[in-house]
Amino acid sequence: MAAPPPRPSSAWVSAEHRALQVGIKVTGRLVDYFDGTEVILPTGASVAEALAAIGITADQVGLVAVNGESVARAQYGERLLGDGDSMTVLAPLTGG
Amino acid sequence: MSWQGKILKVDLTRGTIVQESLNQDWANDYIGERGLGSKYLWEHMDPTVNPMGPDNVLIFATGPLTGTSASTSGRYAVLTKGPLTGAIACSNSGGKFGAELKYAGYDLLLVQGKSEKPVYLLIEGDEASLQPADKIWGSSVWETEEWIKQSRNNPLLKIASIGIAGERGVRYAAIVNDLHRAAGRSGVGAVMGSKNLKAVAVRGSVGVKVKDAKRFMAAAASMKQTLAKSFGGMTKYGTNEMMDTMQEFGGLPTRNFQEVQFEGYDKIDARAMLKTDQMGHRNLVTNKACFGCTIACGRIAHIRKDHFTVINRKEYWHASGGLEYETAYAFGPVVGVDDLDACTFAGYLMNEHGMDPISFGVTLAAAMELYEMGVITKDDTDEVELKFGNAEALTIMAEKTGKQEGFGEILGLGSKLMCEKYGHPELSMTVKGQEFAGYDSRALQGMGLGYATGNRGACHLKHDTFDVDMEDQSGAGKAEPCKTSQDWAAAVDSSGLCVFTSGLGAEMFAALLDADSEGDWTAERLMVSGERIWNLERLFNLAAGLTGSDDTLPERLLKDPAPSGTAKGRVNELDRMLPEYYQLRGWSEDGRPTAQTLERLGLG
Repeated sequence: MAAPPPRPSSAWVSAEHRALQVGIKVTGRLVDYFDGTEVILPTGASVAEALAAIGITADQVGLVAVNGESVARAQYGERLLGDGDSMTVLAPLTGG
Repeated sequence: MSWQGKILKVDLTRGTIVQESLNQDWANDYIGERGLGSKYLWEHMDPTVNPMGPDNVLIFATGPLTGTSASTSGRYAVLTKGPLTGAIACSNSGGKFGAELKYAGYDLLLVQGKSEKPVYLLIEGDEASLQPADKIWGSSVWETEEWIKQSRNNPLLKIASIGIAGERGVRYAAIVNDLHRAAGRSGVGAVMGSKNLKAVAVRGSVGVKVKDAKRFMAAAASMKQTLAKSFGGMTKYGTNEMMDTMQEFGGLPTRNFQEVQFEGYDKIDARAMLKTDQMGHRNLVTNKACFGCTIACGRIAHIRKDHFTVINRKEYWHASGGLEYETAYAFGPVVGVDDLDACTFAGYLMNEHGMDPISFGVTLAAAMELYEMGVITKDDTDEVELKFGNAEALTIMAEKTGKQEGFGEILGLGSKLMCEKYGHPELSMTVKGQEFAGYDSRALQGMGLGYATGNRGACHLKHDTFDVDMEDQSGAGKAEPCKTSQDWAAAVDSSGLCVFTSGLGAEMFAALLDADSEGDWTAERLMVSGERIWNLERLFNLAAGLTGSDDTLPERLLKDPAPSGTAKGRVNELDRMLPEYYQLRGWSEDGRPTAQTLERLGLG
């Protein structure tokens, strides 16, 4: 019997648990919380759920952008992610 | 009580040093450091004087919290009329010098006139004297520190000095203390050089006393706990942790602000500094704290010994001040260079010769654009190919400027005068003659308003709109946070603490100050004091000849849309923000404080 394809991939996830593969870029000090490049999320996941999945709280974030467009903080729970989206999580700016 | 109650007045023309009582009424209204220094400046000089002439006044001012056990309490400010801008200059530094000046018993040092021969001011305990500096005139900052300590046989002296750049009038020359901390901006070092004052060396012994020690200790401990929770990232990565954030945001000024993202950012950012290469070399040696600081954002770095900058120069093999965000930006993206060791070396040269890295880097960026346009050629640049990305050109020009050799004399004029000289003033990325820090104001709109209205010219430290700028890339709603944060930054800058603590809020500062000093310090009083200070600085500038028309940005930022990033397609919306800002300030449409505003602030 052939081995299943390696994870992460959404291809072999059953239909009821279909997942999203979202590219993640984290900046500044937030790399101490998540230093990967992607995350697998359930279908219908929001920006807020993606942040929770990588262990970062909204108050630690300066800005989230999805596919290069910024997402207002108040929209984190409503902005849904799609398969293949690219999410950038920017640390707050401090000056210096 | 944490004011010492004494100031020192030095007249270099007459060679006299006089101790006077602190004007406590002024301290009550202007707090200390930036505010109190501005008030003394206002009362002691004509704002129209030539900044490089003997009638300019140079002030070193501490704050009531300087030298106390509150975190970040090593701060002092230098006040003068800036030769880069013709405006009031207020340049703030950390390290240990500020606390030492306070421990010598002085709140403020006021220098007038011009010495006939090079001198340095020595303060040891109760004794203050002017000492000959002939032997160190022409020396670097580093040589000067070593020579004074050795000649006085006192390694505990804390020294603020100028290098060759300050002696020879580089318009953005800095005053460097403790080898690699600097009152860096606006050319305060050039004013010091114009007075033939090479250094101030201090050793104090009287300490400071706070009004209510028990209450003060409790407030200071609470402050340290809050800082420890919120500033861990800056301790580990330094301020250069912002490089990749600015890159992703699209606010990283690149190649003289022609672009807002730099492809080589990850070769010079905080993580690159932490990376160990195949030969086992890591750029960052350790972090470093200023006096009493629990953040410790300073960087100590070293350069690979086989790097072209130092391969035959063992004197640079030691560890020294490393890249912070602004230096990384000024030697990196804005000149298109991605060579970490070259950028580090350029930083060494800034400290060694006493120059502001931001102004140098942005001036060099304009020169590189002029070169690529063909306006200047190798005939002008001492045969150096001044193209964006040329790391060797960066380090050669840093050294030439520091020593005022060849094309370095032109670069020493600053971006504005240099671009005017070559007939392209539009290439100068400045406000009031001072170069921009590492934030593009097409992406950060409130930052643009803060730059445009900055009393010392373009500056990123005199207001804080980072949060609102990240949340919304339009100009809407930016005037109020810009104005309020300017007032608050003026209060923090006057306290004796680092501006990095400003986020702790007015209540915490009021608790500290009220336990520290006489008077009923409240958050409200601090905010009013900050507003008073901001308006006094504005009055100085108006008296010096500046007008509302100086509150502007280069056309590149107002007309050329950001080519990429989250603000792609945007220009800065200054025309929308500025009228609202003037109104909030209680200023006329042409930017002058109204009689009612002056009356309300006690400036009438």
